[in-house]
Amino acid sequence: MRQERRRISPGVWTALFLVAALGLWEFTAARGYINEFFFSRPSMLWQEFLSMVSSGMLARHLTVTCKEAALGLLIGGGLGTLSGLGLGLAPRVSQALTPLMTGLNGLPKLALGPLFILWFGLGIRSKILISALMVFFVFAFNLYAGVRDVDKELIGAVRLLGGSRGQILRKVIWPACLPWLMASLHTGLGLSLSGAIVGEYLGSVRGMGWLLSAAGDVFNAQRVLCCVLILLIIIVVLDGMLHLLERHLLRWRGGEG
Amino acid sequence: MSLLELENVTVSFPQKRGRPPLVALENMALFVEKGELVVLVGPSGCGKTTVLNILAGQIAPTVGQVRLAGEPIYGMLPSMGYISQSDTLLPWRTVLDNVALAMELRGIPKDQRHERARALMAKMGLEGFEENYPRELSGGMKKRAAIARVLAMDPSILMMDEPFAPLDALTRQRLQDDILSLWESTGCTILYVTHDLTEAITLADRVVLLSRRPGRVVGEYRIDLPRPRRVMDVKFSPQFVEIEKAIWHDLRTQLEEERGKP
Repeated sequence: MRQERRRISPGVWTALFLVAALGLWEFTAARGYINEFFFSRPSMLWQEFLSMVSSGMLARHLTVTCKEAALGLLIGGGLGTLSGLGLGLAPRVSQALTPLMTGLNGLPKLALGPLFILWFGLGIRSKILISALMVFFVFAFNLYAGVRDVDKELIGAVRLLGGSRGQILRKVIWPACLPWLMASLHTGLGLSLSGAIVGEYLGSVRGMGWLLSAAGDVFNAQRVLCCVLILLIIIVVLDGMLHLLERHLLRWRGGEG
Repeated sequence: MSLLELENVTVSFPQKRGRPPLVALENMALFVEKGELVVLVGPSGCGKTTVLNILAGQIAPTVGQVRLAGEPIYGMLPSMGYISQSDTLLPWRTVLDNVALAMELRGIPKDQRHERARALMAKMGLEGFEENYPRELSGGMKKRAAIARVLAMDPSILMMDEPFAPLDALTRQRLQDDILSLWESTGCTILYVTHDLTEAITLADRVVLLSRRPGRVVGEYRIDLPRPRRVMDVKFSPQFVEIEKAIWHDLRTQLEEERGKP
């Protein structure tokens, strides 16, 4: 029997690539090819990370940012989902509102940031709002497309089996929209976090955005890079968890994606 | 009094501005007795599906009367099961939950509906696939599951709209046998639509031939082949060939008549 050659999983490749990149970075910085002051180096980033953890600084700022992003995702995603479903189910209303929504979505939402800070202050509320606004349209447009994409024959068949309007909504339209919701969550995850961070950048007293801005002001490239890497890792981990959830919820679709 | 009555039914659909309305059925009369297996045959686009949709309460006739056991039909009948050509199992539900769907919609508790669904699946030869998703089933098995799903409603009338058209010949023949034994064992009324004359004669008590659009009845044939029938036995009997010849003859005459028209 011929044995199939063992394939190296994509995860292993990612890890190998990371190790190689970090090694190159450390090596070139140690040999003085690149300037440590501007580019830091992995070992120094690790030291920075440990000191930020031990001083409690990281926890203090990270919890604020995560809270803002989570609430932003929840509120923006929730309202966006409801709006998308509503628009999809009411074609007349959607005809009237879709141009307006497209216009609003086209606006550079971050440009509204200073206004929100003016209205809602330097605290957590303005950041939640910016974050929610960033993700709202993703959910609204995706769910709207999802509702319109539902197979009409499935709806007809369930109606003939005696399904009421509410039952059709719950048992046909909603599950059919679930893949669209998961896609929105993938996009919304990063957007909500950037919304919170940029909001903090614009005006705040704590949070990862504030930390980044403060470190940048004193040219502390080491701390800036450390914060950026931490955020990157958080997004990768959360997205991975989302993938696991998706694989479970959408198992009926089989091997794809 | 027949179980289902269509009297002087005309159905026309409004068209876009400037065009005359599309007449799907004209002055159609059809009577179906309780427990009868009636097959509607006709060229494509002749309004066969429209007849089913009227009886299913999905379309209201423009003119005429539709009655069930003497009462006018408004909206959907709870005692009616509908099986269409397309695959309409819900892809995110297991086969068991698909078969149990109609019972779930009626609020029957989970244990009860699952027990019933398992029994129906066994009846349709689907044991062992309870926890599979529809995409893992072959076309024929999906069809069986769709039939089981409808049987869970205990329908006294089954409407079937070219149910086996997309399947291969062998699978289709097996499913036709299933329909025959189902009908023989339950005594339900079946109204079956097809464009396949052989299938029509194999199944029917009565074949009703429809004309091109606008559809109306141009011929009715009582099929006196012995029951219980099996597709293979029926297909090659001399009686079958005779019936088929007679119907083809009428069909050809009708087509020629139409060609002669201006």
